[in-house]
Amino acid sequence: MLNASDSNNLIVFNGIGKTYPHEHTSALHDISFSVEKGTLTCFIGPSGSGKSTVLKLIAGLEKPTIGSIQAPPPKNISMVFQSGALFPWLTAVDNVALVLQVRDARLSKTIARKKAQEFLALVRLQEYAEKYPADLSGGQRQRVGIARALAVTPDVLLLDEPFSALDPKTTAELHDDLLRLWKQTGTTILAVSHLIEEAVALASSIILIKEGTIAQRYTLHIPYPRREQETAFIQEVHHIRRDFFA
Amino acid sequence: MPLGVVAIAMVAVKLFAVAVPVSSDTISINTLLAALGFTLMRLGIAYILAVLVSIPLAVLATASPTMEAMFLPMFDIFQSVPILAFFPVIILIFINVKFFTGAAITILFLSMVWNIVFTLIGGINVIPRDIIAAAHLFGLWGWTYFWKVLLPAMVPQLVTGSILAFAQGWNIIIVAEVLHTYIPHGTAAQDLFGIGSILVSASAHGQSTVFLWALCITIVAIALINFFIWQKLLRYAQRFRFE
Repeated sequence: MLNASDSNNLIVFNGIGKTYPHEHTSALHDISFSVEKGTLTCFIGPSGSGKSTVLKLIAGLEKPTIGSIQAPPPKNISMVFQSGALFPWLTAVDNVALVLQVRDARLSKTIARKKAQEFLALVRLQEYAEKYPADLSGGQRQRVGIARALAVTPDVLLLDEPFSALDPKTTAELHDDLLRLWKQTGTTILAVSHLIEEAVALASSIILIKEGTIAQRYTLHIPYPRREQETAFIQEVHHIRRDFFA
Repeated sequence: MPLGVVAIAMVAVKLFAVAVPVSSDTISINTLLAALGFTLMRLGIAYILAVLVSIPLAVLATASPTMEAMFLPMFDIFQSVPILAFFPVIILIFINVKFFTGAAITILFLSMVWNIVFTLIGGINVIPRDIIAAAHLFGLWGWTYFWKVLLPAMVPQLVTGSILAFAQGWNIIIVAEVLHTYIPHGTAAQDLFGIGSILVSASAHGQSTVFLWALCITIVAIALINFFIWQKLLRYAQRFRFE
């Protein structure tokens, strides 16, 4: 059995199963893994394999049907959503300031906005602070989502395919931003992706999920920054692809 | 709060009580405008009450699948019952307290409330799951969730529902102000002073000039409200829409 007290583990899944009501098959079954503090782990797998469910379980948005999860309390977990999930009636800075004020009720609106500006600067969006989400590009919206997620200084940052709807150039920029912020903050990051290349570009560890269970786990030793044309990168992608389509 | 609004309405009606001019062949423009003012006041009060009641009803009905299964059929039955069927009963209740305006406001309220309830329920049901998940993940629950997420998310549907509700109110206003037809042995003196009752009275007495003026003023008022309130609110509500 895996244990959070072992080494540096921050998240531990022990024999997790998840079945949704009114569904005959289980979304997840017999999932066990651990994630060390400060690592960047990527879950990959085909659509409907249960990757996003794993993130929801970590975030406390879903409860497992069976098994146990050891993770930081929900207030120390933050998430960037595929759709951005920004509140359309709030400006970029107010989207970030809102979560700051919710997490710390003593914070005045002025101070929360000032702090929010600092987090927007982290993702190079300070000039767009007063724009509404509808006036931002897809990449800018995801940057606000990242700023909002980081603003609560989480122990764990979850990313649910946040780059899947973006063009390759914006995706590459956001990958660089994410890696920079990861190094800067030391936050433990767990991301979901359906792209093997994206996972290899970002992750220190990759977990392949197929049909609701863990099919394989990989630890990557390729130094950052990783470039797609490098031999080690290509070999790693080929290696994972074999298992992915097996 | 709804009781407060009714109390203000009662005071206002007592202070500005004016009889419906039924016998004169002409009527001053000031009287018509005053009548319009009273009609708008009744519509406004009924609308505010309808909004105040609709929001909790919509939130309650969408709180869980069980609540939805319980409340939606119930609301569907309520909104299907013809409003005017209630009117004689409502008038009898308000005759006892000598507050005829209350009867008009109640009937207007009943004509408005279901439009708003059903559009709000539709609005709550289209809030993206990611938005709800994000709100809860960042600690927005209970009242904070209501004020910061649910209420703003309802704004577009609230505006749409309000337009429908107000239109329904205009449809009912003539009936709502001409009370005497629902009162046993009632007379025109029991009608409420308003643009609806003037329209009926002018029509009944063959006062075509008065009727046309009242009709024109009503149309202009509806157009102005649409232009200066609803159109502006529709544009404002765009900001609250999810993509």
